[in-house]
Amino acid sequence: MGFEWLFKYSRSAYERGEWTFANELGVFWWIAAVGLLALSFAFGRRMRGWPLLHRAPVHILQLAAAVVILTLLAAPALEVERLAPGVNTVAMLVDASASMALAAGAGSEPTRLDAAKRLIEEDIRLPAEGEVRTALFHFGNRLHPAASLDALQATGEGSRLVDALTDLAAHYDQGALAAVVVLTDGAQNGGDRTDLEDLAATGVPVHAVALGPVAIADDIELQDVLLPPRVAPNTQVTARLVISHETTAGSVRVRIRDGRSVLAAETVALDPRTPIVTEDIVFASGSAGLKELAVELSAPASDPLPGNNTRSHLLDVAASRYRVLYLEGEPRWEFKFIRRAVAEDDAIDLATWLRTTPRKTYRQGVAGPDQLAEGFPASLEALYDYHLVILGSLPATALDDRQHDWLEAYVAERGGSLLALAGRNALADGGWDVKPLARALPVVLERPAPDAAPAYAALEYAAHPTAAGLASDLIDIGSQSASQGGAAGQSPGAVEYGLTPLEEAWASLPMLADYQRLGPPKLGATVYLEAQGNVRVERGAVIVRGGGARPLLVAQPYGFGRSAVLATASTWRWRMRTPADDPRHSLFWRQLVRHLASAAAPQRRLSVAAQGGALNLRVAWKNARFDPLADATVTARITPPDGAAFETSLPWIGSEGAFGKTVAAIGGSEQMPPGIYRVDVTAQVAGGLGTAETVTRLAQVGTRNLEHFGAARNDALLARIATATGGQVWRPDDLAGLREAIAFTGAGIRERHRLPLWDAPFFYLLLVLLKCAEWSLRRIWGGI
Amino acid sequence: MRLHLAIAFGLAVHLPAVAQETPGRVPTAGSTTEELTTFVPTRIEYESIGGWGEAYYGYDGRVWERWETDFPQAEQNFAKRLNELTSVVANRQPARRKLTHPALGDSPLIFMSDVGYMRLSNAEMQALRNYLENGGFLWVDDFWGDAEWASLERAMAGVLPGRRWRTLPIEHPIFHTVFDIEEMPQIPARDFAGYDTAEPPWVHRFPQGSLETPSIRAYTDDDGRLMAIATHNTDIADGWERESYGEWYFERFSTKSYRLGINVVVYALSH
Repeated sequence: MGFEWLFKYSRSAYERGEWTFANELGVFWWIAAVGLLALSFAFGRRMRGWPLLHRAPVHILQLAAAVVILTLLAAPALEVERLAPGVNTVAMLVDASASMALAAGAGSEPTRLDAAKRLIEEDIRLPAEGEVRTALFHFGNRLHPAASLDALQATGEGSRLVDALTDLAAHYDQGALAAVVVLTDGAQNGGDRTDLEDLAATGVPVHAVALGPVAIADDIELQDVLLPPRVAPNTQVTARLVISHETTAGSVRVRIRDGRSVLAAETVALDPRTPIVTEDIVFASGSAGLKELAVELSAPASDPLPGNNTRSHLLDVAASRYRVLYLEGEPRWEFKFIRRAVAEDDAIDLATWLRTTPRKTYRQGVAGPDQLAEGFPASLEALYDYHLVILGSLPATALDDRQHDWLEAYVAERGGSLLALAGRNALADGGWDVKPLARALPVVLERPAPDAAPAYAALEYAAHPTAAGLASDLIDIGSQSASQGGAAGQSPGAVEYGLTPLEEAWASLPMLADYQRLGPPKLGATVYLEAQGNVRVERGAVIVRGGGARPLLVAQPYGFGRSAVLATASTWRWRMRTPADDPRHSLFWRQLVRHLASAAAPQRRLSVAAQGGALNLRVAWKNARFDPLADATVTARITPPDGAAFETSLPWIGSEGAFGKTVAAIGGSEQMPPGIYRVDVTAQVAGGLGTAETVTRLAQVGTRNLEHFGAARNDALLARIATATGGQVWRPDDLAGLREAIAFTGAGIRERHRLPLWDAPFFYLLLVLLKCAEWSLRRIWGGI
Repeated sequence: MRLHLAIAFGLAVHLPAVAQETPGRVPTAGSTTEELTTFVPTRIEYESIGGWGEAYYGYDGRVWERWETDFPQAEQNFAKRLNELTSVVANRQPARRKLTHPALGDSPLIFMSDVGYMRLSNAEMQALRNYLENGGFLWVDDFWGDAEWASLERAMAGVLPGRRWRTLPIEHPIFHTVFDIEEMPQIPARDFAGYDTAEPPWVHRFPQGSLETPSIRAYTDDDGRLMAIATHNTDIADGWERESYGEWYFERFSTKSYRLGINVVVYALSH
């Protein structure tokens, strides 16, 4: 017995309708109320001898039956609005993207598109012809009218569901679109619109018939690959892979390829209890150039969708160079080996200034006779030209007050990076605790008392990475060996104690030989390495007992820049006390220097992101003093994959707001052809003095096999769409209420109707039930 | 609970428990506290072939082995001048080490003198090879003539096979790091200083060949950086040792020795 049989009309009618009575009620209700009171009095007199517990239920049942009869006499009705006949349209929208060629259920037949066609032809009942018109559309990347159902093919290269729905609602701009019935798996892999505001604002309810399985059995999907868009040559790059799976398979092999060259390969465990696995894979960026990397999962043969096991990713290995200035106050072992390690990095231009005598300096790595000719950079612009400044064992008295101010501003305002090393003339021992730079450093500098020993002293201890250090690229000296050898390359001791390759790489380094006491790290500072001397030797293992650790490598953001302190000057031991081919000393310095240098704020910032039909550009430009570039003429030249370049000028927020930046979207609503787009942004300062400067970026649009990703039914999106528009999500096997839902909840042009309820079976059944109950009680209690 | 573990590989040190105030202990691995934070002139102790007048000789009333020629006074004086004239923080107490000493790698520059009769064992050659390939710097001094050069060349051929000595031109940075040296100095032993800058042939190994031209010859690594230098036909360390021999000697020889010595040390610590 259904709702509609019992109450005569559908739930939708009751949800949208208002209760009313056909008869005038004023005098009638007074008479009815008096009648009820009289009846109540009469019943009461007849049951005078009954106990109250018997008399009350019978009395109530009698009154209820009287109320039902009175209600029926009042001619109850529903006031509803429903579609006006003949003027409204219901749009049937069929998803014709490639994912609709996949199986609608667990098996291989029928396809989702076939299922959609069958539902339209056989199961979906719309308001009668003459009451509404129907129109058929299909979509993939774009919305199209469909000539016939039979002609639809699941060949669309993308699914832009929200765009299609919004465009469809906007197409019927006279309010004649009553509802949209969309038959789809809910895939959404592109589009201009990322939210549902525009769609909800049309007021057209969307009824979604959800097709396809919620999960595809045995499928393993490379859901996402997160990579930095630009990296420097010959550095380590971390790719974060997001793998989803519906399998009980134990593992999957992952490879990252550049053409035929395999950059990294790892086996990733798949835990059946965790449907989404995140894995970081490290590989070397290699030489400069644009690389289209293929990230592949070697899934088992049982994987029904091998097309979603590979993603390509554009990696711009840019030959950008970082300029590093190293100021050293005394010739020492550490200086030599830092220079040697950093020199191996082709992306670093290291200029050093070494004080060899109190009056003489020695420059290395300078570009010409003028660079560092006066020792410290001669101007603010010259200092700001560096990405990283390394301060060695240089007393604070070596600089004048203006240079000290510049150094602090270099970090705070220019956004440069600064690394302070230990030494007898460094940090507090060197008098830096009372200089402006002390504010920028990540630790409090505490000068030893005049009669106390210097903070810098010879000590032997282990450098121990903290949890933050292990998670950071800053001190990553082990991932490369891990990617080469993996667990198989680890020592038995490391395997026994469960050390990761990175932990082992640190644990097996020789002891450091000096330490400079630091004050406490500042709020916001991160300790990456600790000096750990509280250790004991047990069966060949150095066991860190915990406690007694002191900060060794600490870093923090400061202003627009970043500062770090390394409280040792004896990392040379990692070079001199290991085999000649041990790369860890070199890796440590290259990683540290590269990481800090690349963290420096760029003078010209351009980011390009492809989204929907547009390239989104964000441009920020500063001059040599790192003041925002004002009153510039900025143009963007876009070169699509077919080479047909075009130019457009960008609005520039200049001197008024002192922003020196802009945000612009370039492109139209058309789907951009997939491929690599080159974007050259050129800025010319107003007045024409100075040459125009250009920054170039590359962006990748589109993904191959796009429709194989996220191919399971997307209930979440469909529910959001239905909720936002006032529609519903329907299962293919339960579409009975769809017709009434459209009739009563549709947008379109509507009329007001009064639906009589006096003949609804509910009232008569209720009356019979009440009287039967009363009769039963009276019979039981002997009063009949 | 997972232990914080570190596996020691190749660490020959014993690590005692330490107080909370410091993260470690003073070194016990063969280097003293000062040695690890200062530049320590390090003299290499080696074996020599032959007997009297060859492996050892008499001078100043005592018997000297070849390796200890000018030691330790030369290094002590040199360290003092380094501290006075440069920003290098040098230890006045020199170290003497065998090439197989476990803490050899703590010395940025090792010095060998009077190597005309030197003999290196396989273990010493291996240790020296490791030291140089890791980035250490060797300075060989006070050997004269062809035979003594050939002796060094044979020994070093076992250390770094396949590499060749090459003579450094006066334009090389090692002559200009601190002082601009325009001519390679020839420093004779004190006893011959009053006559000529070249020492007489009869005090050196036969066949002597020419002793007239001093030079710096060097081994370089694959990147062209100096690994070892040999100051041939000159006795730079004698200029340090004998600085108080007389004012004329100081001005004529010691100043040149110090200028070159300072340049070499600064070069070794910066390249």
